[in-house]
Amino acid sequence: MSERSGTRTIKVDALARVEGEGALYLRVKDGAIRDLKFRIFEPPRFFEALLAGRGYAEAPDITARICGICPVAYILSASHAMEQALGIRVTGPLRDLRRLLYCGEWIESHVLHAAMLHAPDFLGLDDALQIAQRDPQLVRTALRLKKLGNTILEVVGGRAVHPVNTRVGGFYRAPGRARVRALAPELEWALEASATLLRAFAGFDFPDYTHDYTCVSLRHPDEYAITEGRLVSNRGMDIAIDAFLDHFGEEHVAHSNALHGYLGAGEPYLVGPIARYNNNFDQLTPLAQGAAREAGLGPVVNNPYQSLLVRLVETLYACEEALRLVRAYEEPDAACVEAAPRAGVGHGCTEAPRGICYHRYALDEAGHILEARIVPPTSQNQKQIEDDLRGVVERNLALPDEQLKLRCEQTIRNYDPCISCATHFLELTVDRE
Amino acid sequence: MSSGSRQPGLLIGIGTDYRGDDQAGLEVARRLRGRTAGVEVREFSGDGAVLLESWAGHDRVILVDVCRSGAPAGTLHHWRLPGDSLPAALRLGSSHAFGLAEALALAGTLGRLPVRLDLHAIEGARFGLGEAMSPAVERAVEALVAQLTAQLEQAEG
Repeated sequence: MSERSGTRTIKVDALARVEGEGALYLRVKDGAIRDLKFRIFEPPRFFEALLAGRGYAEAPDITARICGICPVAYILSASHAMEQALGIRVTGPLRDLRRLLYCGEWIESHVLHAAMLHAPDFLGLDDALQIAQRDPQLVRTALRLKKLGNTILEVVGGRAVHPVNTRVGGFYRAPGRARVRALAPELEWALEASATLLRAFAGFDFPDYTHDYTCVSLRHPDEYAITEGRLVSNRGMDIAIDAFLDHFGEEHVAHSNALHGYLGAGEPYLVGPIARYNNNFDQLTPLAQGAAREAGLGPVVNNPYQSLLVRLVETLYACEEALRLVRAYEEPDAACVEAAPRAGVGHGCTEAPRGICYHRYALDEAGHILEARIVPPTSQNQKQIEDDLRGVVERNLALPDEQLKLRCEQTIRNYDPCISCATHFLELTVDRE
Repeated sequence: MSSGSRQPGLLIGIGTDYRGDDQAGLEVARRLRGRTAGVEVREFSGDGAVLLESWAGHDRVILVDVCRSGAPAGTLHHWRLPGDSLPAALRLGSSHAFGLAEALALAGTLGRLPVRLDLHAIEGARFGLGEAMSPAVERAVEALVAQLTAQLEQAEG
């Protein structure tokens, strides 16, 4: 902390628990916010450029490198886009396997964020290490649940972190029936474990802040949407994913290398667990709905801090859904749908743990990528994060700087922002004049 | 730098491709693969919580990562756990949301550290997307590969 000419400046490496690198700058004068900038780095433009000229089959593996926590989202959004461009569809057991893989990613990502990264904010603790010192069993449960998610990735995807068994059209090799079925006992345990975590966290003191969000998610006629569906909002939007770029835009803002997503004429919108939950609550299983109600959640959640609980409701759902898929699994006749290269354009959109992840590719006759466009969930949430921060800071200006900083960090973590997945440190600067 | 008297069972190079010096740990693993009989070599790009599980069953573990401590680029650091304490200000480079430093501390608290864990960290300087490793880090990768090869051969012999 330093004093200079009447302006108090505080600079901290505050958000090591958010992936990526970024900064929050806040200037307060005469008790009002004069400036608030949430700045993050590195949109996926590098990867889009890297993909140009490469074969269509390379896109899933290369874009998976954008994120170490949610590679499946990139793999499947890219694969779906390529399959549309090539005129094939992956259905039946291969589609089920993909959904199972995605459930694994939801479990490992949601549990990591909710229990290890976000929960400490509500307990007044610095990190998960302090939770482990106070309640080691809770952390052991969280780690075991998270490990289950990674084990699903390993069994279906071939590796616990970056899957290597996935490809455009399906898989290189379908996992054996016995190996998939063997996941069932741990998934049965996980139903109770995720409900236990949800109950443990339901008693947190959630800050009193609500907002009427524009919630955007996929919606599927038959299931809680994860891997496919139409794009819907709670304001009545209902479009095919192919129309994404007609309705959503990204803008460069002066203070950030990242792009801020917007809807329509420039409105912020929310993607991720709360948006999915609010749009598709009716499609959750009775078990997940009941657990949500027991945790004090109604069918619509407007308090962004309760995203912590919604992540655990979705974890419970993902465990239940994975169990259903595991019990029904039979080895498919073929591990993939083959496709011949051809010119075309394809769109893919799936529900990454953090929200919709949109890809579009244009291919030439040989299947080489002419153009790639990737809109990750975090860039879509940027504008909404800034809006939330403004609202939260306005209501909490009386707090001392240190507490205000913590509240801002907690607010940013509501979004589990996958800022770039590379390097790590978000600086928070508060100027009070 | 201390050298081990017994051969470790697992070496994990940690890092992220396409991101400058953050590739260094992966690069060490790639260069060591096949040159260390009896030692399983893995590359790792996920979060620390997965890492914490990944050494289960191994008594001897070597981790290679990049870090930022303020030292000149390419500086080689080494800590041995249990025993050494990591500097509080150390930023280990390449594990993300839940980092390696957190994973090691949590493993200690939960009793999940291997019998011996050697952490080698290369001081990194640049982490931009698409950047090559800096020359000093390249040299450090070579030096660490040579050092670990000799160490592991000695342990084998």
